Amino acid sequence: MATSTARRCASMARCECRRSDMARGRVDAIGSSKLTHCAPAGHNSPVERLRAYLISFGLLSAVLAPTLRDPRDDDYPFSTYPMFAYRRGRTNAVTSAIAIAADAQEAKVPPVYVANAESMQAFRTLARAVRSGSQESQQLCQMIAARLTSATEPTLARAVRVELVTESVDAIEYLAGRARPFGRHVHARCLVPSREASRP
Amino acid sequence: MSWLRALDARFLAAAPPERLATVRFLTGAFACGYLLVRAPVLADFRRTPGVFRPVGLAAWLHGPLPPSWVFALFGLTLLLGVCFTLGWRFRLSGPAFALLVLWVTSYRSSWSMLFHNENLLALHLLVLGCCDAAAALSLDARSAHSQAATTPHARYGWPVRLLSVITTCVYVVAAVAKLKITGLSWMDGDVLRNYIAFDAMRKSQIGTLHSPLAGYLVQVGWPYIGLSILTLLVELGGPIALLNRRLTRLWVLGAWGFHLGVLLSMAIAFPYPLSGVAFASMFECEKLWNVRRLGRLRARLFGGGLRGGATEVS
Repeated sequence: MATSTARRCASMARCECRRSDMARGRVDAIGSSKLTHCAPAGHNSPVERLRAYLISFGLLSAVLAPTLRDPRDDDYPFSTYPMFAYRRGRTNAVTSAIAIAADAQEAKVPPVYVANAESMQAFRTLARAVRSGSQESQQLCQMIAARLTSATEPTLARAVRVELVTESVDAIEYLAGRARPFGRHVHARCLVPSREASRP
Repeated sequence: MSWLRALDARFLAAAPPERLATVRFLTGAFACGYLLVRAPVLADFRRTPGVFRPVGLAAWLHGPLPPSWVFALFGLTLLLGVCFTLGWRFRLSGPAFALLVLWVTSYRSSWSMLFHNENLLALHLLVLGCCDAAAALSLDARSAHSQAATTPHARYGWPVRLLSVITTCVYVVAAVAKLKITGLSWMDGDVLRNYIAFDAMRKSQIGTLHSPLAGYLVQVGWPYIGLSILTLLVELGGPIALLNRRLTRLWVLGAWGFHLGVLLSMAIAFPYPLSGVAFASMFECEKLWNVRRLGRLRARLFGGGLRGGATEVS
């Protein structure tokens, strides 16, 4: 009996018990007449089986369902995962916030003053504001300007004005140092409150 | 109904409780570490990072919660994470932690930006939270001195397999999005190359962390066709790879390599797959405890020597 069970076991790759385990007497009850196949113990009751299939079917359906909808219609946690799916050209428009000093020196505003430490969230916040129109852009501009009053970085601390701008860039040429951004479009412009005035 | 029997034999095959418990321990420990490291962006929303557009478990909200509530829920999540990892009062802590992680990550993704690196972790925790993942290697099992949890059983097998299938399906969905939006021309290499260049360019412009390699990598065009084809092959091939143990290993290597490539070329980290924990269910991960140091940790946390599993029942 033990030998024939072992043979059946060996022929079923997915079975958890192994011939070597059986030879060493490690798998419980192998060879006993209670067993009808090589799963060593613990047959599923109908209720457990139903539960396993219901949970599995439910979750897998939810995970795969986004393939049936428009990939742009993203959601969480059942996502369409569209993040690297779009065709992107070499030249792209980039929206950013610029801090401008009294002597016209410019510095890009880091994400922490736009949204939080997440650069992706800052890009998304800027893009959304610009897409929503001049009122939203102006609001975001003023919020960034207010935050800059607490900036400690010299280039940002000297800023007197903030602009939300979109520029076009050939990314590959830019990274090679052969191109600069061009075609600047200003969406919003606002003044940085004086540090004294912004103190409580 | 031979197909149903075949499905039963494969999907409901018995597995040692220690495998599922090890996946629970690893996933719980990873989740706790992730929550701690990412606390500044997961727990604190006082600085409005964008427009509030609730998703997931937060979808029922009409507006942002008071910051103190968000912080308190985050703290509770961490606390339950420890219970989940150690398998303490798991019937409560298991589902509660899974739902709270879903809540924390949903709330975070409700501010203008959906983060795609937390989905798989949240889904895995949901599976682990609703199954018998603390029958071994847990404080529950230690206190119960249960011998029942030492025998391989289908109830420890299907959750492990479900985790693996979900992992591969997530990649399939990502591939379908690429094919639906861009079509087969996604594989022409330009899309991937331009993504890497664009990402590095805009990040370098605002002085945030970007890949120092990207500038060099995108100057050469030829590797990207191969890399694009390989990406789609890995993404679509997961479910098939699960049918064979060797193919599974190859697929895990491919998926992990893909994430490593994304990290090196775009400085975008998917910590869960990169850590390897996302793929733990595809291996006999309970053997990790055979490493002497981990064995000692196991003995200290959960008591005794080996408590069971198919290899230890006498």
